Amino acid sequence: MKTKLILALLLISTSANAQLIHVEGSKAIGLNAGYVKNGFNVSSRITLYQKNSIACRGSIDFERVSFDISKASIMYANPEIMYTFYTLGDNFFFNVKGGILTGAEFISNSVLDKKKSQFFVGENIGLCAEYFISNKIMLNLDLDQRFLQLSKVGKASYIIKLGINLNF
Amino acid sequence: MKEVVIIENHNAKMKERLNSVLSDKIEYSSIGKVENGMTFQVANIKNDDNFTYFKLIINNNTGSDYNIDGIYFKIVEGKRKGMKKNEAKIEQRMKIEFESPVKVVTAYQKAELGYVIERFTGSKNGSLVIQIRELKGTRNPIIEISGEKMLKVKVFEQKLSSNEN
Repeated sequence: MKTKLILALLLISTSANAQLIHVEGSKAIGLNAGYVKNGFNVSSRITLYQKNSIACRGSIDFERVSFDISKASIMYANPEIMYTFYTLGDNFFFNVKGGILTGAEFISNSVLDKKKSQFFVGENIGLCAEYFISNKIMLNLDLDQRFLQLSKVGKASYIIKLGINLNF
Repeated sequence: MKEVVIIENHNAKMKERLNSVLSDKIEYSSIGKVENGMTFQVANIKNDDNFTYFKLIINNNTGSDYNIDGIYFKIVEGKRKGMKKNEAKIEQRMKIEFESPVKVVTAYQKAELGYVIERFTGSKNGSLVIQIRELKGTRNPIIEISGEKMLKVKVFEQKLSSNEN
């Protein structure tokens, strides 16, 4: 068992040696945990790196927010485009990004015992820092401002996300 | 006669330096391209007073051998990102002084290639473009290295020209 583990680690480190990061054609998948006002967010995402410091990213998000007597569960998809405007060394990348949001929110009121669902759309702009701790593992920190339409939860909100990604 | 000896000394030293670059630990992980199941990585770049040395790693994750037909190094100046494609620019193709003999990256294998080109310093707004051409194939990646990165490459401490005396 121990030998197998050592062999697996060796294999990972060998493949990591030849791994490119943040170049055209490379990809990363990741999991994020986020903080929003009165709640939290979890998401899974994929990032596809394109030409000229451009990357496309798609994520599926789940968000839970609580108010005085209501709670909302929100699910949405968030495709984004990122542009790398600054690189620090070979493993720190700073990006600006923008995207659209589309999804549904499920609001429940515990006092009135009512449930309501609502479709919404929105836009987001923000900053994203990516740090590659190895050729395989990348950490990201995102700060976003979101603008929502048709939503019952609010018209604008911010979100801070921290995530871990596997580069391949 | 003396000139011939000097040139031979230069060539021997250049090959020795290229071998040392090839044996160096990978320095760059963010220069390269992934396409068509292949990974093309510029892993190391080093300068001396006359030449620039490159280590390229090609990882062939496909079932077809990759036969290298040729490789081009080009300095591009005056082309701004996102501007019109026909905007005035200067391109200078660099002469390859020496290259490692590897010409085939066999299927599911990795190869390390070394190249030496004459040193040419561009501005931070320019770039160095490397294009690899495949023989009997269309896998022709173009790798762009920013001028900013080229200005910060490592150097051999001893000058190449200082050794022949």
